[in-house]
Amino acid sequence: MRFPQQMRTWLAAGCALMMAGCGRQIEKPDPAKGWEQGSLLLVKEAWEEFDAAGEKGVGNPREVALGEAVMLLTLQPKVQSNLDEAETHLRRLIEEKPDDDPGIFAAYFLARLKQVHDFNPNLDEALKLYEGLIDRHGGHPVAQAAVAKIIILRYFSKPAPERAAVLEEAENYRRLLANPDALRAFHGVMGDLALRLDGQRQRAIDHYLRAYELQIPNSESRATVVLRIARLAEAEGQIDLARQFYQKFVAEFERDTRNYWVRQHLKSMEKTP
Amino acid sequence: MTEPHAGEKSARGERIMNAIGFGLIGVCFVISLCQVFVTAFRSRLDDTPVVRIAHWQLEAGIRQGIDRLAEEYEKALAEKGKKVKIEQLPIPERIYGNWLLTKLVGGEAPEIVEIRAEIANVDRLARFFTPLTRYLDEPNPYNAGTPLEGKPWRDTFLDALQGTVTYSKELLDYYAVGFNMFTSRVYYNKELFAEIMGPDAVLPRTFDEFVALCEATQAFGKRTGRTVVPIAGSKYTAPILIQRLMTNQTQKLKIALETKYDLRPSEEDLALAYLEGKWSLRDPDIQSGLSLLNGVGRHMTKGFTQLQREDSAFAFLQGRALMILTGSWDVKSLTEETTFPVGVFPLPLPTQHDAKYGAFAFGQVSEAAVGTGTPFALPRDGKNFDVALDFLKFATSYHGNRIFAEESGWIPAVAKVPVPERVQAFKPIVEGFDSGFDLNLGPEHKISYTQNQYLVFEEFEPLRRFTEKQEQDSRDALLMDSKRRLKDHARNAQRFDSPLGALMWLRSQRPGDRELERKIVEILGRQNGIEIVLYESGERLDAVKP
Amino acid sequence: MALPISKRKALAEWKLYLFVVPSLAMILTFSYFPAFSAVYHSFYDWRGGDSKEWVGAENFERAAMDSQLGYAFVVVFILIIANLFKMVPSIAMAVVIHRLKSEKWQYWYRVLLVVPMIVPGLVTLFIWKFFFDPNFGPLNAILDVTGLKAGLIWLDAHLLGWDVFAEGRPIPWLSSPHLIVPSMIIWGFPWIGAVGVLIFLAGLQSIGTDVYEAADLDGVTPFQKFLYIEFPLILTQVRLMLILMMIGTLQGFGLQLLLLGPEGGPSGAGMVPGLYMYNRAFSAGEFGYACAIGMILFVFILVLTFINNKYVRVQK
Repeated sequence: MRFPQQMRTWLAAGCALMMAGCGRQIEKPDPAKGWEQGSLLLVKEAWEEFDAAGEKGVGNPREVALGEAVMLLTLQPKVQSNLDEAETHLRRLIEEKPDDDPGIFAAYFLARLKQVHDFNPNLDEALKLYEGLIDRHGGHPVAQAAVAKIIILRYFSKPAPERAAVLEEAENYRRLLANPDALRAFHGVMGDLALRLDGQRQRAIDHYLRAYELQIPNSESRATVVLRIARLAEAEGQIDLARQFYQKFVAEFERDTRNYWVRQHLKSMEKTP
Repeated sequence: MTEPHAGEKSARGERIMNAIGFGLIGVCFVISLCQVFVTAFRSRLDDTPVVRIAHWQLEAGIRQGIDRLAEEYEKALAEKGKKVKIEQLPIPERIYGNWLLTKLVGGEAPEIVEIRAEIANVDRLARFFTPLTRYLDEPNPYNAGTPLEGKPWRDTFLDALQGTVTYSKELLDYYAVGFNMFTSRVYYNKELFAEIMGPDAVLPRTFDEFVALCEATQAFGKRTGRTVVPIAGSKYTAPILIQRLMTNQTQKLKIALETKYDLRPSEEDLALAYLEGKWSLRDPDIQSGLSLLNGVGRHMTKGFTQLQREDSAFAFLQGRALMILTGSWDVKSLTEETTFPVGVFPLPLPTQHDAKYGAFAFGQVSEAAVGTGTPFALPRDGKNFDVALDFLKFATSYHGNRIFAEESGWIPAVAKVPVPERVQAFKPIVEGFDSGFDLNLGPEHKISYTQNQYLVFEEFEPLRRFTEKQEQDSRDALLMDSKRRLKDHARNAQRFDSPLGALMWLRSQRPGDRELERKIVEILGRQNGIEIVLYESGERLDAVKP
Repeated sequence: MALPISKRKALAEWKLYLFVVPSLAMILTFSYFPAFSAVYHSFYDWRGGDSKEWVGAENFERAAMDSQLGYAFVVVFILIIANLFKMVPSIAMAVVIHRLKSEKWQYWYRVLLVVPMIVPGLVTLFIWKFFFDPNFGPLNAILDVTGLKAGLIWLDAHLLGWDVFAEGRPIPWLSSPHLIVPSMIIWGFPWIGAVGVLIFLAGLQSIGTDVYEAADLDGVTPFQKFLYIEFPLILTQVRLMLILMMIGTLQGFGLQLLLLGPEGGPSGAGMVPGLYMYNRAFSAGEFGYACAIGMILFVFILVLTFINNKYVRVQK
């Protein structure tokens, strides 16, 4: 009969229009664009780009799989199926070629998935993955980002009495890090962890001093480090060092609200023999 | 034959009226259509770049300030042979958030928009707005020939843009620049003051003198039978006073509680310290702060916790209150709409020399951390980005901000810009200590504190009743806040992995790109810091959970 | 009544149904979509924005243990009971107008009732906020002048023990937790709503005069007329108003938000589920949890409406 056929045609046309409107159809996916979008936190757009590139076979398949996996880590809403899919991609990349860039990146982000993204984080597995990455590719910049994670995870996996030993052992990682940014990050993390442990103030001072010498770009972080060096030094009885860094703080951070307290404190330090 | 003729007349009359009606509708429709087409196509016919600046500041003076900036900017560019149009879009505050969000989602946002914390949460900042960090690292060209010449644009602001809206700690980027600063002061009725204290009386300079003034006002009211309260109170103005008084008495306690050697324990640290029993509501500092609140609260309008902002303003404007504590944003409204002269002075707080309250205070609190106000950001989808950015540079240059301050009567945000005479009294007092902390230690705790606050101002055993009630609520509220913070830390640690991956990959394709390196280093540094706090706080919370 | 048409004929004219599409689209977009979105988001930990994490039934489990939400429902049920009694003046007013012999006066009373409707609800709330002002509000002034305050002071001292009524101290209607719920009940006095009166009046006017004549012949008293004739015959309207009242009371929070703020006033005494939902969303930033509360409210309204339909019988 004519009218149901006509109706079916109209309905089908309507549905097609709606579906076309619903999803973003990417005609010419470009993985490079996906990376750019991802770097700007446009994760959904980036994932769509990689997903479309994967379906159409555009670009290097390993790069595309990596891009898709990395974007799936933070694609919203956060659901288990996304994380499972990301893990599948990452494991496959590692198994196929663990030593090329996508393989190394995949190892790092698989560790990240286990550390922070899983609904039930597995810190032990994450630590093993980071350590494996350092063992195989210690010189790679992505692997070097894992150093700080290893130190943090080892630190918090031990009870307080054993943490000093963890920090002592972690000093060996310094040898691995040639890049000044990676070194500065290492010293920052060591300082932050030593700060929290009784009896490790001197270690904290040493690391913060090294970090400061390597020029901390963020002014807020720099202010914190300078002040911590001063306060820690004072607590350790190193008055000259304390005074020096209090003065640095006063001179460099004149708009910080702690500046006035520091100035008053310096005056009182001068009065005390 | 009369009736059919009358019937014909009425039918004809009806047809004429209908025709007039339809004609009117038709004419209106044609006019509207023309209006729409002219507006829509004007931009295509005229290639003058148009920059629209949207905000909700409908207070007296602001629109005039922005108009004047627009005028000066257009003139300055015209002298260089460039044509540009700056249009202002003032939108009522109540609907601004929804309006802006609709525009952002629709990709039709104006080129420059004012933002605030609830509009510009992390997700929206990342998605809709352009980070300004690299522009702020460079000097503002409009500061050439001024005392700010050569300084990075960011460092020309009084607070170096460290405010929570201008700088995103999560995204590690600057997103907005502010046009002015706000400070709070005590406005007072000069005539009434002279009546109460005598024509030669001086303004209170110490906390004791301030209390004495309040007591004299109460006595005056009783003596003369006039309804006069010392301080006009309301739900809006009271928190300003409460915050000032409470944070004055916890200055020393805050330093005593800090464990990270940076003089700045976070709300999270303070909340966990409470749960760990390191401080309590019964500590003398807290009790002293509550006592201070109760003492001053007696001098506010009775039942002020149920009054709205306009109630306290009316009380002051109608001469029923000697003083009102509010911000510099109200200066025009409160000074120009009164029938009496209005003066202003800073609220004197107890110093360490105060006999009763000095034990817990360092003294004057610095206003440097107030942060710049009216922050303006640049949406990604805005057309004429370069012109919009240039206009922002102009507006926040030494000359531009001076123009704005003079016209609007608001305090400038840029350093070294002279504060207009009429708001000299509002000039931020930069020399001073960091403030202590109040009991707003998280969203849940703030809700419970706000709900129980009325007890502090009751007459019968206020401190005991408040302390007991708040103690019942604080533990659960702080536990909830701490758990939520842990989730937030986890989320923030996760959030950057995708952009980090993208940046790292781009770095591998473009080695030596300093901007990429900077971002990667900052993200990693931030992530490491967040994860240390996440695990440490997790341990501390596990130790105190029931 | 329209005659039914055959299915075949209806399908043959299917293109006419396209005229319904625009209205349907609007309803789907602005009514149904937000509702479905709320259902969807109630299963997520959602703080607004794009970030959301699946938590399953966690929000509902939390709501089940949430004592503040429980308290909010207690308050709202108190208000529903109070609003039930507050329907009586509207019914009484409708009956009084209906029984006026002069049609002209009936008309003028209806006009007088409707005129205040042009005042926006928000303005009425602000006026009542002023009524409750402890220092300048007329409510305290009236209580002082009429000597009723002395009675309240006596009650407080001997029965209530609230310590809110005292000589020389203004009554803090909205800043004492004990007085918040009474204030919400007092609000709107004398509780004669124009819409309610008109609806009841419309019902009353459908009653034929012969019924009254028969009642007069039987010697029925005015009150008996109301009880046995008028009230049963306007039960449809009463049921409608009951449903609207319950839905409105359960959902409503504008009054509490304006008078008390998002925290529900001192000690959260004025918290109702709608306000708690608002509080969770905009004060605490827990949008997902707020959606779950919305879902629970929806179920409550559905259950109450069902009970109302089943047990408030309409006699035809």
